[in-house]
Amino acid sequence: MGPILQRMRDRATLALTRRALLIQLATLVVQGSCAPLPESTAEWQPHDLLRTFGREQVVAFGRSWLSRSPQSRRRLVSRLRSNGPDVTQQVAADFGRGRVHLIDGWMLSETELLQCALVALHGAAGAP
Amino acid sequence: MLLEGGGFDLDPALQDRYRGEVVGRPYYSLEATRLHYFGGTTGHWGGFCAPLDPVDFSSRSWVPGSGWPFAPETLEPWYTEAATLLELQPGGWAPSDAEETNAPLLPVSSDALGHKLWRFSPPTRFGSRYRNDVVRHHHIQLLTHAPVVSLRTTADGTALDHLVVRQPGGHTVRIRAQHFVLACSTLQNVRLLLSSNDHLPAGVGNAFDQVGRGFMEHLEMPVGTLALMRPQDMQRYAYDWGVTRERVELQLPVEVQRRYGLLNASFSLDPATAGSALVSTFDREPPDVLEAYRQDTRSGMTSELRAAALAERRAHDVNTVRRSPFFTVMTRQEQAPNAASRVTLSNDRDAWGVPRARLDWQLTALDLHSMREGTRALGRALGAAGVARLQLVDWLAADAPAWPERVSGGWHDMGGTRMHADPRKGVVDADCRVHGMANLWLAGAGVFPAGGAANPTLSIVALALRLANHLSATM
Ligand SMILES: Cc1cc2nc3c(=O)[nH]c(=O)nc-3n(C[C@H](O)[C@H](O)[C@H](O)COP(=O)(O)OP(=O)(O)OC[C@H]3O[C@@H](n4cnc5c(N)ncnc54)[C@H](O)[C@@H]3O)c2cc1C
Repeated sequence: MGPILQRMRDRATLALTRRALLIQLATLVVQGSCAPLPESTAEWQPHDLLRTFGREQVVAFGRSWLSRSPQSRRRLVSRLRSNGPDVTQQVAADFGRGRVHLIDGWMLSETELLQCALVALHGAAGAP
Repeated sequence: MLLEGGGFDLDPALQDRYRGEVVGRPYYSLEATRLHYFGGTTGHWGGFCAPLDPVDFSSRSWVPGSGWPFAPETLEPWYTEAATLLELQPGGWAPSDAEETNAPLLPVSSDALGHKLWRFSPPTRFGSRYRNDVVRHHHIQLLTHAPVVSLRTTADGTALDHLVVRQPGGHTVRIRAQHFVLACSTLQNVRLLLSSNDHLPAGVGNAFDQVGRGFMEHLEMPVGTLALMRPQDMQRYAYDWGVTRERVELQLPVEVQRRYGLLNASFSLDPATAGSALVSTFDREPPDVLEAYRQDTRSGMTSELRAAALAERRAHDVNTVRRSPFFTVMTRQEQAPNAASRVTLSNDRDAWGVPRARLDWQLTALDLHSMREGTRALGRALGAAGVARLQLVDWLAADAPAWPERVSGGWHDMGGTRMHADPRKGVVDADCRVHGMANLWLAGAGVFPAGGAANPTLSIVALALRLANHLSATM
């Protein structure tokens, strides 16, 4: 690539934030390595987040959320249940209503943070 | 008669006339941003084009000082002609008017998020592209190396009598005409108006202390990283230099802007590559990079450059996105009209004795509010549609609103000679005539009363064509 093209490409292709870069690298490593969750919590897995960010990052989101708002697994599941069966719809509704929190700069919905917290608790326990 | 202060190529000694003081918020070096030669700053512009949006012309209750003195339709025919001069793809400006519409757009709710179409000029270098047309034109007499150093009014100060032009040997000549158009770019127009004070102590067109006020930029800043939740063909969002002729960007609908009290903005998505921290325009492209760019493309895109760009064209298809779902989000936000953001004269003078420009660029709380809340509204809309998650850059994620150390613009100097029907609130009227002056008109982005989210040159050219039409009808 010639120098002018390289410069112009740099102009259009902005670098990632350092944190996003770490996530990107981690995602490549961990994708597909999700251990199964216990049955009571498996249905609440944040599939989209796991696919995009990888488990390690989802656990980090969950831990961060738990440190702000400590909750037991039972309580997390009951909160998710009380929101209704369609978690995708619930996440969308959260964004629509502004039930959004910043975790490491990422704008995440309250519902998906409960999901991440479940994954984190599972990760901490090491086994179901 | 066309008086050009520079020659056909850049001369550092002449370019030094543009050196000036920056006393407010840090800005780009003034002698590096505008180019003082035939063809002007199109010698290194990037070619990003879009018309102003209808909302930019309206007087918005949440944006003090907003509104143009005419409706958007006034500029429509001139935009079409301007697009031809800038060698853009023809057609309307709705995303559906794009030539390539096969790839899908992100499935977002139109109530929460819209799309804006952008087109890219090759980029047209006016100095090389139109030089022969101007030189050979029967009705144009071009004088190069003919910098105007002063405007002289009639004794009663109601009209321009003549211009003082400095000749290469140091002598000055007077140029008389019936009609005058000042088109020296925003800062240079202000410089000339303020320093020409033989009969009008405050300067030409400055009876109400308006000249120089309301300097605006487009706030071009990286605002975050977007992670797509599902692989999606991003062909229509992509920009590859030298190749892409059209793309779409994201934009918050007017109703959302109204609800949250936001300025207009356009958000571009570019594939993010691993590397250093996100950088903004001014830091990414220091003056030596701009100069290299000008040199490499001085005759526009050569066929070799285009062939190389085509060969390097990237894929933006589903598979590419599957490999990396991350995109950087860059905003181009309108700056709120602000009388305190202004250009005045420095005590320092250039080699010909003309006071240099002093730029005091200032932002308001509305600019910052808009940047924070607009980006959050974008993140919410993407999340609600299940399309993506957005990570805000640190200064936008922080609890306390504050600008980062460096705020970048797009090298788009606008305002300073604002258009307003009321001479107490602007310098030119709706026809771009300087209030109180019978025969002086201004061209350039200096007349913009509000800058919108679109880069200015398409509108500058459209306004110039409209002005030419107006003058030929009145002459
Ligand atoms: C790096 C960069 C990238 C840009 N990219 C884009 C983009 O992608 N899209 C976009 O829309 N805009 C872009 N711009 C902005 C664009 O270049 C300007 O908006 C546009 O060129 C301004 O046109 P103008 O005619 O008002 O001023 P100029 O192009 O600066 O022309 C002014 C002319 O007046 C002459 N002159 C000045 N003083 C005198 C005098 N005293 N006497 C006689 N002649 C004089 C100059 O020599 C020059 O020929 C970019 C600018 C920069 C610096």
